[in-house]
Amino acid sequence: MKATVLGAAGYVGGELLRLALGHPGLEVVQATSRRHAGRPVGLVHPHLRHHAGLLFTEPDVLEPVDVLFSALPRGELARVHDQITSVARTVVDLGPDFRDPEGPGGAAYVTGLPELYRGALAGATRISVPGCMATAAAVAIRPLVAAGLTQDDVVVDARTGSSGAGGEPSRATHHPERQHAMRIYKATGHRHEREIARLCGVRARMTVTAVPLVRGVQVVAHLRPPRPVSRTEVWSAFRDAYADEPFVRLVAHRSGLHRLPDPQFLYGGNFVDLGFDVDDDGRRVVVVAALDNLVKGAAGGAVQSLNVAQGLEEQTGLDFPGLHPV
Amino acid sequence: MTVCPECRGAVSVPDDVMAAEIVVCGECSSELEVVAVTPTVLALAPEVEEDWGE
Amino acid sequence: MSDGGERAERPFALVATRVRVEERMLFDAFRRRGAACEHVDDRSIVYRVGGPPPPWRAVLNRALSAIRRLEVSRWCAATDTPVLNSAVTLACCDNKIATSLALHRAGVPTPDTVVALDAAGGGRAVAEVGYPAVVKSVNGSWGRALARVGDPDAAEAVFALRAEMPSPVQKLGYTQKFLPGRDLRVLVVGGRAVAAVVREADHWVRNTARGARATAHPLGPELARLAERSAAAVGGGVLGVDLLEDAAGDLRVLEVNGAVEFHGLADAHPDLPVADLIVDHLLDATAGAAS
Repeated sequence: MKATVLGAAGYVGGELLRLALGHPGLEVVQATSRRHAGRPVGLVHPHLRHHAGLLFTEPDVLEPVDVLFSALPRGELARVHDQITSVARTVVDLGPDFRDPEGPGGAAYVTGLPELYRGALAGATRISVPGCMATAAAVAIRPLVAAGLTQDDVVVDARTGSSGAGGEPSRATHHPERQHAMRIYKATGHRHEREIARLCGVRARMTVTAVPLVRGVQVVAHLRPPRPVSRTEVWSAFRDAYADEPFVRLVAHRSGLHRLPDPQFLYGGNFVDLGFDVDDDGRRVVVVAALDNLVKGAAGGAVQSLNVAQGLEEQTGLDFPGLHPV
Repeated sequence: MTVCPECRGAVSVPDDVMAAEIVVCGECSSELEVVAVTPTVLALAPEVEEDWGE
Repeated sequence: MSDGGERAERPFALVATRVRVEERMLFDAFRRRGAACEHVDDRSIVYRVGGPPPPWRAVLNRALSAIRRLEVSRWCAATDTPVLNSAVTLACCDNKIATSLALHRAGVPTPDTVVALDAAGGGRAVAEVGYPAVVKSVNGSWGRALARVGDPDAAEAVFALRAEMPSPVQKLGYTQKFLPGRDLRVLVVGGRAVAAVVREADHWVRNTARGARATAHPLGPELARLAERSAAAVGGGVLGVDLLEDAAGDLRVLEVNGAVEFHGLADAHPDLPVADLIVDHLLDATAGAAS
């Protein structure tokens, strides 16, 4: 399939290029960037510098392709949507514009999270990938909501690396300010709360902390069940939901060094690691999810969703297992 | 293959395992005690009591 | 011993809370001797006083719980069932005060030891024994509840905690002078020292339960004799004698273990059939009792 990446110079764009260039079923035809048009992609994405012939192009002239991935900032894709849909059969949006099915234009888009929306993705031509933290929280919470193991709101404590803020430098991401930060940049009312509520069917109360990572998101969700629950019940709920999922790994060990999910083992890989523990009195379930915000939280989720939509083997182009040590 | 009582994962248990032996579940690392053999039945190993030792 | 004939038909019992490497080795040794032996979980034992005796020819008592271990051997003694180790030995080994008194009576060198019968006297005991001191719980094992105490403030803190504990046993103060040196263990079976290991670790608590490594140590005559005298002092049987060897090469006995974990020692002496020696001793003791 011929593929175009819009907004290819950003971090998400770079990940889309990395994955698409390694995907046996995709041929990258265009990588657009207004700012870097005409220059080799390897100048902006140094890890791709061996693709010497691939240059950024202006976004104004788009070639017809089978699939177009958009990593444009908020509002940009909506602006050019008609133009896009006239040249691409399938559109995969990694931005926020069409995540809300009840928002403008959102009804046509299917959520790009196969673990929860696989049926709807089959044959889909409009796919909207959720935000990285919403992806982690939804994977963590939804099976417990479905099993009736939570009442009340869910408290979501999210820790995020700096790449989630994008490729544009800012005061907050200036190295001396960011390097050792554990900055709680949103203690309440994060905009992802609505998205999580939509994906899970339960009110989420989020606190987000910027931590000294570049890639990586770790979400710690606290749930109160309506009656005391056991670890075995929670295992069953997660196994029922995810037993055959190629990219969800259950990580909840009672002993050993790495008992619960840690983003450091996920860099570059499309896995979401999911673990949990239960208070001894059974009255609180703590669920932990970790992923690479640029992969499962963005570009990897996009490619995975496309694979499902096109009837390809779901893991195509998504083999990388992460590194250890990092 | 036997089922872990904690996480319901598969636990491989040696053929000649005896009752009161300890095996560890590969999926959740719980310490499990063999409470019966043929068929093998596993239970979460009880906590070490305060007077255990040599 | 009117049922001596019937008893000979019964299997041996290996009483064990957990079947670990040591228990597997012992079962294999029984098999090699053609002696039927069944595993008995000490948690499952229920008996009527004056009722049927233990349904076993003899018992190898390896219960992990010190209290149940003693009760198993007590029942065996009351019913003339041969058992290793005896209730007399276990009662001595599982109480450090009893062990210290028995070792001293037998003339076995030990670190200076001062006993206080309540946490209130603990500070005086430590001051008497001198700093640095080690405060141990009377019934502890596996390196639990040991505190090295370097000054009166530390001693006060340790005994303040002890005073909070619920049982009088936990409030007993057993203090010894802390001596640097090498940790040795000698396995003594039936009065004979069999093998020795030295236990290394980074921390001063050097039980293998807390991660120490055991390597083979030569069993010289002085070490062997000292270990054998210590074993006899506590009542004999199958015993792990723990000793401290100081920089001058002097040996002092720290404690004697009545349900010895010997996998480290067996690994360090791969040509020594440790489990067979233990089982043979039980078989000999059983034959002796029956005659």
